[in-house]
Amino acid sequence: MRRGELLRSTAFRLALTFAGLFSFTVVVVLGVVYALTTAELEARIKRGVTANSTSFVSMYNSNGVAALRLVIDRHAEARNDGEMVYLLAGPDGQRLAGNIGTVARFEGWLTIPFEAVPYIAHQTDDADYYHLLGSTIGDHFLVVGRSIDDVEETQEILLVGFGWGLLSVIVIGLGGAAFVGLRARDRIGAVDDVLGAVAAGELGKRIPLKGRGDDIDRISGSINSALDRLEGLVEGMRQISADIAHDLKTPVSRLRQHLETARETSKDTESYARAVDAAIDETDTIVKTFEALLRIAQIEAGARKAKFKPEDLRAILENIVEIYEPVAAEAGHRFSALLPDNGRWEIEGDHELLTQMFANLIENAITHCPSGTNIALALKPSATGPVIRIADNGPGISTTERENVFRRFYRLEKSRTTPGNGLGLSLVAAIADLHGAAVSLDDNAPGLIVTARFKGKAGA
Amino acid sequence: MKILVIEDDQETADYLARGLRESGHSVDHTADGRDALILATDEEYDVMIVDRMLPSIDGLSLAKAVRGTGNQTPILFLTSLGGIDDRVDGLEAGGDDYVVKPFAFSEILARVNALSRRAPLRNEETVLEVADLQMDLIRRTVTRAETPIELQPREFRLLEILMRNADKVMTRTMLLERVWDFHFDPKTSVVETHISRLRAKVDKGFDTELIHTVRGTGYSLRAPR
Repeated sequence: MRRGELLRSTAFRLALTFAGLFSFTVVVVLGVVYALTTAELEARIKRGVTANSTSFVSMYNSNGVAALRLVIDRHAEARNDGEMVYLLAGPDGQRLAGNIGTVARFEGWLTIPFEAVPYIAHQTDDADYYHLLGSTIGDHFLVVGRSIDDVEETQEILLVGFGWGLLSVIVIGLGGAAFVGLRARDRIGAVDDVLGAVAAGELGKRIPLKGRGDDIDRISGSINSALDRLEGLVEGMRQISADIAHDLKTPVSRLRQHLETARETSKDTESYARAVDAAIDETDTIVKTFEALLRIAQIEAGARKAKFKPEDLRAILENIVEIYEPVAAEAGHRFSALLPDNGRWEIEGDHELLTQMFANLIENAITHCPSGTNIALALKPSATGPVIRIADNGPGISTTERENVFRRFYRLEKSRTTPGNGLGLSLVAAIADLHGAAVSLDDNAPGLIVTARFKGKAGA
Repeated sequence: MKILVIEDDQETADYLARGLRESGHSVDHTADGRDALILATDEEYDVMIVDRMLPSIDGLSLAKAVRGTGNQTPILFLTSLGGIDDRVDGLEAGGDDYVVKPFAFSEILARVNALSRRAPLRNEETVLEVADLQMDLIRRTVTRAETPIELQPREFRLLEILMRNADKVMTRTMLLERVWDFHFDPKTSVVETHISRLRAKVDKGFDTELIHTVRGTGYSLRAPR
């Protein structure tokens, strides 16, 4: 596992940031609790000392110095760990009772360091400092004090507790960050690998989805769709190139033959002229085929979609019917149309392409069916949108062939002699696809039914 | 007519110039877009034929520049770009017509003739007349030698286009575009079929033929000579 990459991973950094934030929070909380607790405990100590001092004062007032001396000495004896300090000094400053030596007179609170306390008896305490309360009673001087030993003990507990907490946060944070980072790295690594493989030419590779529906899965899904489209386009292009090479050679060879014939066998200007005319016709056919191919490619690229406008399918079909009715009649076919009288049959689309699509379908029926065929066009509503149905009772297309006929240049054996370059249905498929419409072929028993289902308004 | 050809491919330019001169027009040629702009502003041309791919300034920009000076000379675009959007782009840039290479010369000639505006635009005209054939554009009626003729909407439009371009040749492609809004080549004989139906209504039974087939090119409506 490349560590450098782990450190650069976004997931890892994010987890690390959070661990840092939590640690910082713990420290802040500790600070606050520490300060508040210390303040409260020291206040409590002072209150205790004050209470003590007050009781001594009232003892002096009621029972006199001697009684006070006794009481103080007894207190000092009882509390001989050094936590409490007492001093009763006489008018001339001499020590009368207590457990510390003389100190300079003072009134009120005095905080002094441990070393400065002139302790007399054995002392086991070792707090940092003492809070001393000095008061004057009559001629005498009373000092009551207490070390902050309790406070320090509490502080120690706090520090240890929070210390462990902080350590856990850091350890779990780092560990979690590494774990999350590694997991993310693996998944992103998978995406990276697939994209690398595709770039190297393996267009079929797709990113495996974890099924968790999280953001990496969603992006993977989108990338997979894009790769599907890419594969389709590349395959399409490959197919075009192969088809072009294969199928355009025929008219190009014919062209060459015409010109060669003209050269070899023409005896006079007139036969030359005829041969050249035939050659020109052949080049026109080739050009038209190229243009149709280009158009299909352009449509498949999809840029046209940006220029879609609401188009009335009924109007387009009415136009088609009017144009092709005489053409069908001349070919000996019976063309009938069932179009609704009113209603809105709107879809988002391209007028020119839609016209071409239906023209192609009608022309297919006209040219590939023998004279006397019935051709019927109908526009019907469906739940999702308009449905156009073109049915004929001609020879039809067998089930096995129905998949093939949409391929470029594909021509059914029986249709090889009829005019056309085999691109008509490819164009229909491309245009339908661009409009999000579905085209299907069915058996009319006998004959063919072409159904095109669009998404839009149907009759409402 | 005085025609300006702006084309950088020498062979194509020669081909066009020769053909147009043989048809009785006078032709100026330049291969450079900037020179063309100067020529177009200095001289009065009846039609400009502009190739879309030019060195120094592309055909679309040239057309926009020409239109920008208020010059309304009809512009015919000539190009290998036959894409669906290219035609629309050309027309939006101020072009009047669009022909894709390779083209038949007869197509160019027919369209150049159709673009020429010798007489001032007669948009106010409500009645078209050729010989004894009369078309009322407001009432949408047609009569020949006083006899009314019943026409379907598209037949009317076909006749209208032919009459508006009387004496000029309309190629199959031009009719497909202008009458039926078809911008592709149909496999079936759409134009022939409709022309023959129109003939059956307009020419049959009358003493002179007005709708003529021009072999190899298209159709033309003209009074008998």
